[in-house]
Amino acid sequence: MDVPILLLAGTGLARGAIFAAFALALVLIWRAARIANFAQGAMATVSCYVAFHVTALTGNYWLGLAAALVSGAVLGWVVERGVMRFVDRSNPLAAVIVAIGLVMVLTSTLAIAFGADYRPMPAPFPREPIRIGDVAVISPYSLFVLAVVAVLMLALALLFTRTGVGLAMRAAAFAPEVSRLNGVRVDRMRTLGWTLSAAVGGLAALLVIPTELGLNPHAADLLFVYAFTVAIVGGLDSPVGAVVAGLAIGVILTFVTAFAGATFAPIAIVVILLGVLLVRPQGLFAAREARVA
Amino acid sequence: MTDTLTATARHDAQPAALLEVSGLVAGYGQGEVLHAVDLSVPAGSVVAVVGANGAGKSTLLRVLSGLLPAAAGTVRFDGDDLASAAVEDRIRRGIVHVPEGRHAVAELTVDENLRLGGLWRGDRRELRADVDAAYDLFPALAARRTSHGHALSGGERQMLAIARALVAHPRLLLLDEPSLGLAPRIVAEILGTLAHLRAERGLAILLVEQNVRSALSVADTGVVLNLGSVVAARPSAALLDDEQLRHAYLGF
Amino acid sequence: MTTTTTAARAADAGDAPMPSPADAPGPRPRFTATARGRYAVAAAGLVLAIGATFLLDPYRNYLLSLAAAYVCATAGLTILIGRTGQLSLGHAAFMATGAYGFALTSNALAEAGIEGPVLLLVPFLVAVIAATAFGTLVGAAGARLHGPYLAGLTLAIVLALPAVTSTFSGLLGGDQGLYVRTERRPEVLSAVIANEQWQAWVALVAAAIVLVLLAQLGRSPSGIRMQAVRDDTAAARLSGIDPFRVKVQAFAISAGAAGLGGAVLAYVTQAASPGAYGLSFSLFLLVAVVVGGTGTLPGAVWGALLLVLLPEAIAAVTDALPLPDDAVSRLDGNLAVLIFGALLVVIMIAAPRGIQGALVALRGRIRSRTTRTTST
Ligand SMILES: Nc1ncnc2c1ncn2[C@@H]1O[C@H](COP(=O)(O)OP(=O)(O)OP(=O)(O)O)[C@@H](O)[C@H]1O
Ligand SMILES: [Mg+2]
Repeated sequence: MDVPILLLAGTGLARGAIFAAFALALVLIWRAARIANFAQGAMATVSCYVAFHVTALTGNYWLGLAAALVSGAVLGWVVERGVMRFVDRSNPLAAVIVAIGLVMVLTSTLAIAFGADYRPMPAPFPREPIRIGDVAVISPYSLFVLAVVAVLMLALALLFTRTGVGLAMRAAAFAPEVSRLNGVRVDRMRTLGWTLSAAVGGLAALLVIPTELGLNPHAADLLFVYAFTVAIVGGLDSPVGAVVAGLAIGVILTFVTAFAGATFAPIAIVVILLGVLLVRPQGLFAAREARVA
Repeated sequence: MTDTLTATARHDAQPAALLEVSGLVAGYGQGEVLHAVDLSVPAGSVVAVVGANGAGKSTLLRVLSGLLPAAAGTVRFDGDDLASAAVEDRIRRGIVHVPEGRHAVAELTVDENLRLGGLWRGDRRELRADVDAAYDLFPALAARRTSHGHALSGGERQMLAIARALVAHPRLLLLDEPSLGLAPRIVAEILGTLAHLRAERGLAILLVEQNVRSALSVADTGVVLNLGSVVAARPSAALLDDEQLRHAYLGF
Repeated sequence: MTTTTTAARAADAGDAPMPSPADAPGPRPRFTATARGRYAVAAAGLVLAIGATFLLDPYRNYLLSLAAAYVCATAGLTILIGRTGQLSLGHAAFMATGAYGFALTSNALAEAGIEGPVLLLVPFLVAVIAATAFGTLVGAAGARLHGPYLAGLTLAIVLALPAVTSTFSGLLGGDQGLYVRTERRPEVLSAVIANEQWQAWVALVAAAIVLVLLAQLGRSPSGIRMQAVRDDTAAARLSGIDPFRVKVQAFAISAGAAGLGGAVLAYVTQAASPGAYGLSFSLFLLVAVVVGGTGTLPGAVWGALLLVLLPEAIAAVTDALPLPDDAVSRLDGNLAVLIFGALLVVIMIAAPRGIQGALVALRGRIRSRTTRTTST
């Protein structure tokens, strides 16, 4: 078999970029609220259903994409204001458990409303690779994904480093009391973190679904696990770690899938996780304290 | 003990003080720390709060900035009752608290820390000018503007905390032990700066200090707090002259 | 209605000998104070529960068996979460390990022509050993992690389960899973009781063993070390406790209990398949623990009963309603997930001590009222 290394690498990077974006959404909430949002996959799936229906109704992919962003933001706002705000912060497990409850509520609601069938999700660009001579290089869709994620990362980086709101969000995350003394409305920043994060998560899920089996209430379960692995490897506190680890894991999983079959990918993730944790418990990047009790 | 200053102020029918505290009770959980504290800070004046460790000085400032709820009593600022004002709203009214312990945000740079103080005004250009003015006041900070908070020395952090408070355009500055751990020369510099701001902007300062002599030397009024109660509130000079009081509560 | 009350009585009997950390300081009936007393009460409870199986029809005995199997897993999980603060979302994977261990062993023994007590007991033993070993591995990887990270690791494991069974489909039977050949009821009993009743006996014995052992563990120095590690890892380390070891130990024990639960399920349903141990089921175990009352063994029993009874009740309701077939098939399963999820959120926020916490509070109130009336 002639292995299309280049194509696999490109596809892997695109996939990794999505993992990175989704992991970044996890990092956003972690930094804003010190909560690992286990409901992010389910919330993103809800956004994808909204996008799916908007696209189906209007025949326009871009309106669907906008709908995913908006509905993600709204959902993030609702979840924070309606549920997470009331969780006991002194119990470190409480937020995770409540998020799990949300996962159950959201996925089952989707399944009741729309059934459990896989629905094919349209892609705005072809997924067949461009060929240069005999060599398959990269698909337009992968290029699109890479471009979207690059724009997203740039926008987030600018938001956090160049704007007052970004500065206020970072300050609120690191030092809530000092921030309040300086007039930062910490509660609002937390809500904003959820809103932003859920929008990013919805976008990432929307990008990944055309490359998978299709839309289903559990479509983002594995995406969540992959992104969470990225976070374990890169550190929930580190946006840069999320990006680097995301790209690496995307490439690894794509090669694993190509050589060992798609079913093997979830096993590979567990092996990577167990391996990293047993051999290098502090993760591949720093920020040891974040993970260790 | 009567609060002679406020008493005279009222008799003279002068405008009410900028900050007017009466019957303030506060504490942590069950333990009451402040027992019916009365206090007033006229606009443009410096009031020093002195007293032994654990007297409740920091607690008083925490209540004034809203970090700690009052159990009873009233706090009026510029005539308004502050009871319902949240912490993040008080800075908007002009009350800026610099807590003890140098609260520079470790993960932010010096420049970002300074900008944090004026974010609430939402005016980028004015904020830039204010931050630059802060650098002029504290040249040591200007040299470190891209350093992160955790990389600063103790003195630099204290300067940063005070500079950030000034960026916030305070009308009343609540300073908790600004001299702690600073070289006397830097303390003198900071106090000089504050005196200047007071003259220039009419800034009022409520100053908590361990170093009683230097605090009273810059303050107009001294308030002695003992076990959560005000035992004396007099012009600084009068306090320094009262040997009995000094021996009993200030230890010199 | 009979089901509910009898099952509850069975659970009550099992509940009596268990210490619940929630009411530790209060006065305690004398007969539970010693280990021997606990064994005696457990045995009495077991006899009562077994007696109850005579009142149930075969289907209800089957449900009782399921509940007993779930108790093994929820009891293991509640100790893990409540005592060491380690959150596992993947206990279904340990149950699956037990189920497959049981299935493979039982089939191999049956193939070799072995029958009788060996065919009954050895597969259970193998199942527990396999699950404990797997739990030790995962526990060692996860012991250095705190809450959310460990939860993520265990979530990944449970989601990888179908991939494992289809990758090794020659051995594990792929998505179909394995049919399990088991030892049926002893010859002498076959005239007297149905097989379902016999299976309920086996399941109840397994649950009773798990409950007694975990109750003992909670009282033992190991249990106290676990709590010390949860409350303050640094302080525990200073007092000579190795937190890593304590956490791995707890994880292994908890996984072993879940493995026994899986083995019981394999024995009762005569099947081991990946579909039975999916993410939803794994999360159900968490719901059972939290709703029952995290960290308490009686709570684990309440939770397991809920897992069996609530879906039954929902099915009864949806069947009774005049719904189109399409709607019924969509509600099937999903409505239970919805309700369990909502329960999890509400209980976590509004009543984090769960059913057992409410019962203890109620008992305390009644007791204080009676002492007040007797003293006057
Ligand atoms: N967070 C807290 N919780 C409970 N009690 C507190 C807390 N902070 C302070 N106290 C108590 O309140 C009392 C007053 O403390 P406070 O910090 O106001 O004293 P202080 O006058 O600032 O002392 P120092 O000069 O040492 O800074 C002390 O008895 C202290 O133990
Ligand atoms: Mg103090």
